[in-house]
Parts: sequence; structure tokens; C-alpha cells
Amino acid sequence: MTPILVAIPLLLCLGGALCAALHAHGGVSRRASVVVWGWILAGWSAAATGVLAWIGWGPGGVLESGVIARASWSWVPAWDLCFSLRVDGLGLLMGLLVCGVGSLVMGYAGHYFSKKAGAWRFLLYMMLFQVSMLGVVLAGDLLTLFIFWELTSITSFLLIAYDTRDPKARRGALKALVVTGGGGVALFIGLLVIAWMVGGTDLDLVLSSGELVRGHDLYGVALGLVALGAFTKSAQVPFQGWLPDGMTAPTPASAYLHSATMVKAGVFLLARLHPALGHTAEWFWLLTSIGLVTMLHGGITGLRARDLKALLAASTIGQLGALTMLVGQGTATSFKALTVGLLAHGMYKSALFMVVGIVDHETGTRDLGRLGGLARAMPATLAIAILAGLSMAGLPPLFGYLAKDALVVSAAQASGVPSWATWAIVGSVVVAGAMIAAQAGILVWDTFLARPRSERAEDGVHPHDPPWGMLIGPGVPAVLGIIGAVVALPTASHLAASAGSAAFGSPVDVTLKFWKGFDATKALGVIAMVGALVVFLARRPLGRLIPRPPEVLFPGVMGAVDLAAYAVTRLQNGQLHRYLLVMFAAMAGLIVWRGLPPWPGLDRAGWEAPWPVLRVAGCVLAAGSALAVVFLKRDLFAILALGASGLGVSMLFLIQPAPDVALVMIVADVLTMVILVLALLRVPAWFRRQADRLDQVESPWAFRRDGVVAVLAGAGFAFLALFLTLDHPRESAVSPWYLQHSKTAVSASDVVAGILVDFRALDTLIEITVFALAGAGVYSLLRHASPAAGDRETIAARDTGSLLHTPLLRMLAQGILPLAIAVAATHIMYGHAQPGDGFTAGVILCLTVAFRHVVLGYERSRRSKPWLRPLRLVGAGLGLAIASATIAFLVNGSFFSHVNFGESLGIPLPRDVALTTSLLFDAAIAVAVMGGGTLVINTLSGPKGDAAVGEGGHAWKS
Amino acid sequence: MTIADRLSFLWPEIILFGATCGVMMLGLSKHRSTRKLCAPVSGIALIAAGVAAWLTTPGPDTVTAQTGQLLFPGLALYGKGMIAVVGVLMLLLVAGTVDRADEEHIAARRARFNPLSSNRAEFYSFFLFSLTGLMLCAGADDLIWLFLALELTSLPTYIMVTMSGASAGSWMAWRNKSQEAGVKYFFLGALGAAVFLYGFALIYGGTGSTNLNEISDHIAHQGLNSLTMTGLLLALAGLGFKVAAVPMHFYTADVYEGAAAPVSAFLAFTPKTAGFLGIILLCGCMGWNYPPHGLAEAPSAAGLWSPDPAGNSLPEPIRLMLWVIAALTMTVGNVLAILQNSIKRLLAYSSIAHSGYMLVGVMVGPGAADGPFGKNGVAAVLFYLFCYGVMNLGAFAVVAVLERTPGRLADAQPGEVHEIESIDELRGLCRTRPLLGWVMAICSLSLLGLPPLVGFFAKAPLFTSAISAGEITLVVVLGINSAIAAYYYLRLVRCVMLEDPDPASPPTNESPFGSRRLAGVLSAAGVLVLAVGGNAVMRTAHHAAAYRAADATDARHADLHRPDPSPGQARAATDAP
Repeated sequence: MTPILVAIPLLLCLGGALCAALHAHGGVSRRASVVVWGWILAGWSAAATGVLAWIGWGPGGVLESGVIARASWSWVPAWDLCFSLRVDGLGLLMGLLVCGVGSLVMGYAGHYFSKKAGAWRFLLYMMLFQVSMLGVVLAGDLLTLFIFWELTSITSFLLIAYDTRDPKARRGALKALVVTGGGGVALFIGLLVIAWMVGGTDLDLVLSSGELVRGHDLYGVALGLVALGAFTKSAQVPFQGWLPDGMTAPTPASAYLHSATMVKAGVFLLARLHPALGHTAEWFWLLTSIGLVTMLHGGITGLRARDLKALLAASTIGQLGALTMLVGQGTATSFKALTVGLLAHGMYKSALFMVVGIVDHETGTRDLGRLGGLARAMPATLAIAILAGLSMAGLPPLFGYLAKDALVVSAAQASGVPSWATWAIVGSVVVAGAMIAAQAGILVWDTFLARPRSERAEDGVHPHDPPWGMLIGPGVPAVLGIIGAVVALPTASHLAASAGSAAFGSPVDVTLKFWKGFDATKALGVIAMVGALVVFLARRPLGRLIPRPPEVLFPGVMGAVDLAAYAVTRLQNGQLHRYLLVMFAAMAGLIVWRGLPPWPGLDRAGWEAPWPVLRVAGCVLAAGSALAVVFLKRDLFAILALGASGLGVSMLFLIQPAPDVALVMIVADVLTMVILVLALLRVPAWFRRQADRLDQVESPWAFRRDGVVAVLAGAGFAFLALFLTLDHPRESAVSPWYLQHSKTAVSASDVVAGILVDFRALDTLIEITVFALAGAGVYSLLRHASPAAGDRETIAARDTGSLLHTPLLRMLAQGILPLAIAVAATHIMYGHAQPGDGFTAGVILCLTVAFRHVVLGYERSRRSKPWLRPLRLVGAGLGLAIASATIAFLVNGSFFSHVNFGESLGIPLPRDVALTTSLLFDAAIAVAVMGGGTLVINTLSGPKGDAAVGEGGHAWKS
Repeated sequence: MTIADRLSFLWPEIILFGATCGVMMLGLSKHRSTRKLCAPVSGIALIAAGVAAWLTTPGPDTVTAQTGQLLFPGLALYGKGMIAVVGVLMLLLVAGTVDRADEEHIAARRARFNPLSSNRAEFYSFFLFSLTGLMLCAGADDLIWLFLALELTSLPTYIMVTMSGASAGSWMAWRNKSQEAGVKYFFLGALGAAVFLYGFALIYGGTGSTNLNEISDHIAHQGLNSLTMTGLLLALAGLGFKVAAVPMHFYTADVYEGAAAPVSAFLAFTPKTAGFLGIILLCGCMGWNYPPHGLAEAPSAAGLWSPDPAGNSLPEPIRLMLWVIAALTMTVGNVLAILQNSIKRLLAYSSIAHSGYMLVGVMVGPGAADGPFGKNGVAAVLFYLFCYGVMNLGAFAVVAVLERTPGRLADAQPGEVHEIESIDELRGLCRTRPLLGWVMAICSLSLLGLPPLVGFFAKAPLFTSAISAGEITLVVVLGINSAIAAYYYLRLVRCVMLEDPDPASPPTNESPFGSRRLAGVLSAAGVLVLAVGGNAVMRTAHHAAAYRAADATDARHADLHRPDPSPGQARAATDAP
């Protein structure tokens, strides 16, 4: 058996799909009618059936020699994913059903849709579905199987929703996809767990590793997940709801999906994995109980159905329950019954669905209340319906009888279970069998033989037998039901035996005979038939008695998900306040959970050291001002308090002693405050007044809640810092290195400066770039800020008030810039030896500019210093930085290395001042920072769009 | 060797930076044709950066402690390549995001070019700046570097959000939305940055170094002290903001909704990738070599499906935190997406969920050395990032292409357009605009993770790696979430494929910027191509995720809270910077 042969059926079906797609897009002649197209596609499927039969019965075939035909191609090697096909008895049986019924349904569908435009879409979906389904049954690898499994879900979704204009169809399709897709996810995890247990996804490996799987700790998980997937697909209680709703699909789709193929996929999967997962008590109880309940559910609900397709759906659910139960029993007898049942059900149910389709097509209704008396008008259809109906009822000499007989025998022979369970199983089988037989009676009798319940003549509909082509679809399986039972019994037995053996894991003997002598099981069969007759006669009162089956699971789960969604969405209210609250609460939780290590020895805290007054004052200032921020009513005061708090922290650094850090903190703190105040001035006054009143609007509870979270988060971080520093030695690992090397390597007495401009110069460069970027960002943002309200409030336009117009202030403002430049220059010059650096210098210059703007007014301040253009300053700063790096590169061959060219050129300089690349870089930092900061300040205090370009820009504005 | 010498390994970033400066000039030109060069120049720069990354970035075999981090030697190369590819797609998508109305006025000679009101230069340079930062993230080997790179990635996005809305038209409501989005994004982003910076500081305090290689060595030799542990916890929680992980996820929907669709697509990829690169690097410092749940067994390197219950794990507190965050993130994201009617909010929430999926991979870790792809959670994340970037872009591209003219709105101005907002406006797209409809359908189904689209192949390794690490419960949570995701992705698919166009909603037309459509089509094609030929990318991701643990493993089983034996030893482990 060559590997490619195994793939040929799949390729043929794919060819058919391609053919349909080409037809859809006009690639192939459209002159041929839909009917012809249906039969052409049926031909592709029939060819696939033929090849499959060859694989089975041909020389060296699966049935002939008992070998398993395999084919495997590497798909995603990185993930060990193979595309594997594998044909054994079970796969062959299902494959034949899929392709055989498929070909009949395709031919039938052509007739069904003969008058409708756009039928190609349906034919295409059908062929795609056929490919997927064939892939599921022929898959030789768990992942290949899963991928095809999901494809059946999608294609069935498309088929059910074929009539997209019908909201019911869309709902039904979505429900089917959600249920089977959800089950698919469970199945996926289950399959992965199995693969992980046995060490591979290859089906041969999995099936031969039953002992390993059953003995594994995670067996229960794997079984549960796989069963969940199978149950959802095979419409087992409590997931059965999607099948009746899925009846909105066009009837040919139902005939295919809901009889022979998709719904069987779940049963097939369980049978397929039985050698690996079966033979345990959990398997038995889970599958048998669910199967029994489903069987009874299908039997009972079918009796109240007034719609022909609903009736068929219910009986299908019942049959699927029976099949699941048979897989669960896990005996040779039960697998015999399973395979015979698969064959029988596939044939008669598809025939009946197609018959119903014909009736619907001819009369325009499927309502049992309006049908009746069609026998005379549609004799051929009636004959087919009777054949299939008798098979469904399980009467000899039809194939359905053999199935039902095997089912009863298997139920009676359940081994290794308590006797009450056997009784329950047998009882349920008989009851359900009776009901399903009665349903067959209702279907045939009420449609064709009963007197019509209403006058159809008024509708102007004259039903008659459809064209013979349409009868082939249902006719062939119906007739096969009797031929298979009478003539081709050995062939059928052979196939069933092979399939049963593959599923059971050891040989299953299937000898099908109509009469093996009278025993208890025959008596049960007779009881069931009598029961069926009683139920049939009492069908009308019974139908009224049976309540509508409650749908709990699907709406329940969906409702729960919706509820959760409402709850979570309420939290997402769009308020920054709420978001920050949750984030802070989470951080506080994280710290409380994890951050507090075991209480360290407090003696290491250094409490005993005398606390200088300044340190206490710094702490009080920092904490007290922070607290004041919360309670101050006016925003301006709050900002000032915030600044004071920052100054308090700087004070602590100063006495640490870390003068560099303290210096930078002080200037940055002041700059931040200035920027905040300027920004605040842009906000319209009424808006600010409103914001000031906000905490009165807020309920006291919310205020307290925020307070609790804030205190928790603050205290958490504080304690965290305390404990962590106590827990950990305070010596730094890197400081000594810098202390040792900064003087020698870069001749910096001030280590911080050495780090900033020499050791980590590149970082500093990026940092000033980011600073400049931030300035550009503020500029870009505010340029688009709503200008109408803001402009009037800016310094440019407002009367700055009498306070600022004191002559002293004005004089100071006019003279402050040179003074500041001198201070900045000192900072830069002595930066390497003393506290202070280029950043401090730049910020001091920025502050001066801000001072000028406030006192002199924006226009005047800008006009008197036309060279002060922020963007140019930024460019100059960055350029100077790169230039100093390049000089170093030219001299030393390394960017940002330390070059003391003052010394090498022999320029006389004061003590502690060295003309080095570091000095240049410090100057560059100062200029860039000044540029970035001035850009922000100008943007905030100037009129719209004026900040970046200065005076010259006005020319553009005209 | 000083840090500055590292420049020779930063050619991609240098190229992008150069282009950034160039684009800033070009965009301010008075000539329309010159201004139009912004996008092509950016594109060429991105491609050149990709090529430069290919040629100059040290690969897994050549990287040394001087040229990069050694934990994931291939990460930089893969990251930069991925960023260049997705960057080009994003560049196609952002065409016409800013200055559209202005340019139309200028073309119709109703106005003259005003550099003050033009945004094009900044927009494209911010775009490139952000990607530069992202590339720097991929090559980061130092906490300070990482912090700066993360901020360089994020800062431009704050402004891009505001800018994109501001110039989409002068409709007040729309503009305010984007301003609000920008402000929220900025404030929350600042908080997130503060949290992870605090964490970085603590890590430095605990290990005495900011260099990732040295931190990793320190942890390997001396164990995790409480300072480092807390620092890592905070840093990871803070980085959660970049990837939109719970509880830092709040901004996502508001910001995505406020920004123009192309910028939202940019946000869904760029900061998220930066965050994940950062998270992976930080976790790599600890290593996944701790005994899981108190078991002590050596991990095995056998085949993909061999049982590997001992597995590898992060230190328990970190593992637990990531576990909880991952589970919450995907659940909250998915559940939030259910009720959404706005297409952009839906995609925003779903992006939260996708972050949750990826966090599973990070938590699981790279598995045993030389283990297969399917067991390597980090490789799965890297592959997922790429696939997510592509398929999510397709979905956003459809939103970006469709627009409606607010003809009947009173305050509408000529030449003004609006993006579609509600899902209902996508109804029947397969029928009215088949190309866009199918792009949307394919991308949604792929985002859902349906086989045989690439979303499935991206998500499946997350499942397998988590199973092989023994995280069955989390895998079940992941499965449940995949099912919940079906709820809304299928709603989208149903809208696009099955339903009729909504007669009540205003008519839409396609954006005149053809490159947006091209971006969508390329993304959808990518989804299909990757499904068939994703193997090569997977293998590259696998190489990139090859984890080289610090050599000493004996100390990793030590008590996590043990303080350092003595400061002297800490110093010994840390050499010169």
C-alpha cells in the first residue's frame, strides 16, 4: 500500500472543492446547471469512495491482510508536527460512510438547490466539509486529527448559517460553533496531555501505550477533556442543545452533517482512543451514564416534535447516546454493536433526512400538523421512507434490526458491573428503543399515510414525486439497508469486524445473523416493539405531556459570562482616578504579600545614632508638605506644597552627604514647580475652580477609600525600603570602584561628575536626547491643545498684576540672565572637581528664562533676547556633545573617552579647571537642557505655536 | 572597552536615528513632493536597519559579554529582524494619519504650507524613534540601557496618540477623545515606569550591578536575596504596563479608542514587544532553574513529547505572581471584550488577552537547554509576538481603510473624515468589499487561534510548553479563555461574513491611501503564508530563545531569603563596569 494511495481520497475530495470554487468564480463553464454540478461533485466523492474501497478490499488492502495503511509527511518540523494519515478498519468504515453518503448528498443537493442562485457556495462548503471530515477519520496523528476536527466545526458553521439572511440560522450556527469550538479547545488540551504522557502524537504510539496512559496521574484530566470534546461534538447531554438549533441548515447539509458524519465524529473519536483511554471504571461510568441519559433524552423529546427535522434531530441525539454508551461498555460485543450501529444509522438517517428534504421541497412545510396523505402523490418517496423508517424502527429484515439486536445483546451482557446497573442499562435501552421506533412510525405515518390535517389545496401546492435524480440520494442508502442485510451480509460483517477490532484493540467477532434462536434478548426486542406500538398510538397525548426540554447549560454559561463581563466592564469606567486606584491597590497588595521580609534586627537600623536637627526637619518638611497637598483646597497651594516636599527630600540628601544629588534635586524640583504653575495658568479659570471643588462632590466614602489605599501603598513602599536596606548590607559594590578610578582615569575629583560625563557618557547623551524629546513632546502636545480657552489665560495676554511690576523685580529680571550664565559657567568649569554639573547649570538657566517671562511678560522677554531660540539650543547642545565625543574619538580612537587637551596644548588654567572633552560635554549638557527646558517654558507661557521659532517665526504665521 | 565602543554593534539603531533626523527635515519642506518622501525614507531606513541587523548584530555564536547580554545570545538579532519586518508593515498602515486635511487644502490651493501646523515630520520621526527604542530594547544588556530604551519606545507613542487624533479632522468630540487618551496614557505610563524603575533600583541594590550578565552571575552564585527578589517583582509588575497586563491594563481600551486606528495598531505591537523583551531579559537573569513546587529533579532535554514533569521554574514567588497575572490578564481581557461594540475597544481588550497568553510562555521559560521548540516557552512568545504583530495589524488595517464622511454632521468641515467605530459598520463587508472582508475574517479567525491559520501554530507551542512544565491548571485556564475569545471574534467574523450591510449606519468608503489596504492584504497573506511556511520563523525564534544559564547552578537551590554572606563576595562577583 503506497503512502500516496492513502492520501488520494482526501485529494479527490479536495479536487472536488477546488472544482466548486472554480465554478464559483467563473473559472469553469457556468452553463451547466446546478444539478449537473451537483452530480459532477458527487463523481469526485464517488471516486474517493472507490479508492477507499480499493484500499480496503484491494490486494494487500486493509481488510484483506489486516495491515494498517499509513502515510506521513513532515509539516512543521520545528514543532514535530506531521501530516499523517492512517487507514485501519475503523477509519475505513467511517471513510466509506463519509465519502459514500457524501457523494449521494452532493447529487441530491444539486437537485435541491436547482432553482436557487448562489448554490455554488453551498456546494463548496459541502466539499470542504467532506475534506475535513475525511481528514478526521483518516488522521494518523493526534494533531492532524485535531486540525481537521476544528475544520469540521468551521465548515459546519458555514453550512448551518448558509441562509445568512435568517437570524435563526445565524444564531444556530454560532451556537453550534461556540459549543463544538469550546469542546474543541478541551479536546486540544486533552490530546496534548495524552501526547505528553506517551511521548508523541503518532496515533500508533498512542494506541499502543494504553497501560502508560491509564496509569498516569493525569489520566482523569485527559479523559475528562477528551470526553468533553467528544460529547460536545456528538451532542451528548448536556451539550445537546446545538443540534436541534442547527436544523436551520439546509436539509442536504443536515442529511450529511447530522446523520452520518459530523455528529459521529465524537463517537468516532472515543472509539478511536478507546485502546489508549478505555478499559477503566472511569471510562465505563462516564460514557455509559452520559450515553444513557442522552439516549433517553433523544427518545423522549422526539415525541413532542412537530417539525420533521426536529424529530429527526431528536432521534439522532438518542442514537448518538446509544453509540456513546456502547463505546463506554468497552466489550467485544459492544464494539460489534457499535460498528453495526454506525453503519445502519448512517444509512437510514441520511435517507430519512433526504426524504424530509423532498417533502419540504414539494410541500413547502415540515410541520407534522399540516402534512399527511402524501402517499398517493409521492409513491416512490413513500417507498424509500418506509424502507428507511423500518430500518430505523429496527425491524427485520433490515440492517437496522441487526443494529438494534446487537445493541440489546450488548446491553444485557455488560460485564463487571453491579446488577442494578445492568438492569438500568437494559431497561433504558428498551424504553429508548421503543420511543425511537415510535418516532420512525410517526415520521412515516403522519407524513404519508395519515389523513391530511389541513387543506393544502388552498395553498395551491400540488406535491408530486421529485425527479428521479433526486430520489437516488435517499434511495441508495435505503435500498442498501435491505441489500446489505440480506445479500451483502458477509461483506458488511467483514468491515464491521475489522472496524470493531481496531476500536476495541483486540479481535472482535462479527457474525451477523437474523435468527440465532430465541433468547431473552429477542424477548426484549419484542417488548420494545410492543412498547413502540403503544407509544405510537398514544403519540398525541404523550406529545402534549412532554414538556419542552429545558436548556440550561448554554444560556447559563453564556449568561454567566455576560454577567462577568458586565461586572468587569463597570470597573473600566474611563476615569484615571479609578485606574490609578486599582493600580496602587495592586502594588500595595504586592508589597504586603511579598515585599516584607522577616522582621530584621532593628538594632542595625542605626536609630541610636544622634539625629541632627536638619534631618528631622527634612523629614517633617517632606512628609508634612506631602500631606498638605491632599488637604489644600487650591491647586496653586498644592503645587507649592509639593515643591516643598521635594525640597525636604533634597535636604535629607544634602546631609547624607550627597551634595550632587541634592543640588540636582533642588533645581529639578524648582523647575518642575515652575512648569506646573505655568501649565496651570493655561487651564481656564472656571475649570480650575471646578476642579478645586471636586473633593466636595466626591462622597466621603470614596475619599476614605482612596486614603486607605494611598496610606497602604505609601507605607508599603516606605517599609519596603526600610526593611530591604536593613536586611541587606549597605556597602555598595560599585561605588568603591568608581571612587578608586575616577581620579586616576578621568581626573574627576567629583565622582558623580566622572560617572555622568565620562564613565557613562553614552547614557547621558541618550538622557539629554530624551530630555529634549520631552520638550518637543510638550510643544507638540500643547500646540494642539484647545487654544480658544487657553490663550486668554497665558502670561502673554494676561495682566501680570501689580505685585510683579515692582521696579526692583524688573531690574532683577533684566540683569539676571548674565548673572545666571556666570553661575552656570562656574558649575560647568568646576563640575569635575566640585558638586554641580552641566545639568544643574542648564536648569538654572531655564529658571532664569522662566523668571524673565513672568516678570517682563512673554513678548518683551523674547524680544529682548532674540538669540534665545530653544530648538537651536537643543541642536547646538546635541551637536556639541557629539563633537566632543568625536574629538575624543580622533585623539584616542574611542568615543567619549577622556582627553585633557588643555594640558596637552599647554594652556595655563586656574586650579581645578581642566580643558577636557568632559568639560565640553558638560557644556553641551547645559545647553541642551537649557534648550529643552526653555522650549517647555516658552510653550507654556507663550501664545500658540510661537515657542519653538521665536521672533523670526512670525513671518511664517502670516 | 567603554560603552561607547558598543556603537559599532548598533548600526540598525544608528541608521534609524539618522533617518529620524532626516525625516524631521524632509517633513518641513515647502515642496509637497519632498514632504512626501518621509514615508519612503522611513521605509528604506527600516529595511536598511533590518539588513544592518542581519549583518552586524552579533548572533548567538558571536556575542560576548562586551557586545551584549549572554542570557539569550540570539535575542537581539531575532528581535531586530522582527521589528524591521513588522515596522515596514506598520509604516504602510500609518500613511495619511496626520496632516491629511491640511495636505488636501494645500493640494487644492486653498492654503499654503505652514510648518507650524504640520505634523508629518514629527509623526514619522517619532514613529522611527519609537522603533529605535524597541531595537535598543532587543539589544539591551544593562538595566539602565533597558530603562532608557523602554522610555524611548514609549515617550513618542504618548505624543503619537494625541497627534493622530488631532489631525484626523477638526471634529471636537473626536479630538478631545485623542487628547484624553494621550493624557491618560502618559500619566499611567509614568506610574508604570516609576514602578519598574524602582524595581530596577532595588535589583541594583541587591546585586551590585546593572549589567544583566553580572546580575545573572550574581544570582547564580549567591542566590536571590530579598532585595533582588522584591526588585524583580516590582520590575515585572511595572513592565506589565507596557504589555497591558492586569492590573496595569486599564489604559488600553481608552487609548486605542482615542488614537487613530493605525496608531492603535502601532501601540498593539511596539510597547508590547518592548515590554516582553524586558520581561524575558529580567526573567533570564533569574533563570528558570529553580525546583518547581518544591520538587528537585533535573530537567530532561528529550523529545517534544517526552514527559518532563520536573521541568524548570522561576523562583516560586515570581512564578506565582506571573501565574496569577497571566490568568487574570487573559480572563479580564477576554471578558471585557465581550460587551464591546466599538471595534477598536474590542481589539484593545483582545490585545490584553493576548498578552496574558504570552505571559504563560514567559512563566514556563525556555525549558531544558537544547530542548525542542514546543517545550520552549520563550521561543513560543517570540514567535507569537511576530504572528500577533502581523495578524493584529491586518485587523486594524481594515478599520483604518474604512472611513466615512460625516456629510450630515453640522460641524463637519470639508475634507474631513472619520474612522468607523462600531462593529455594526463592518456588517456584510465580505459582500460589499470582499477583499477587506476576507482580510478581516482571516485575521480574526487567526487571532482566535483556529487551525490551520497561523494563530493556531503560534498559540499551540504556548500550550505544549506549559504542559511540559506541568502547568496543567494554567493550560486549562488558557483553554477556557480561548473559548471565551471565540465569543467575540466569531461575532466579528459573523458580522463580516454572514450579515447584511446595516442600512442605518452611514455609508463608508475606502481610504484614498492605498498603502493601508496593502498593509491589510499583506498581513492577511502573511497569516496564510506563515501557516504553511512558518517553520523557518519558528526555527529562528527557537534559536533566539536558546537560553544560556549562568554557569553555577548549585546556589540556585539555596534559601531565597538568605542575605549575602558578606559584602566582599558581592564585590568579587562584580567586576569593573
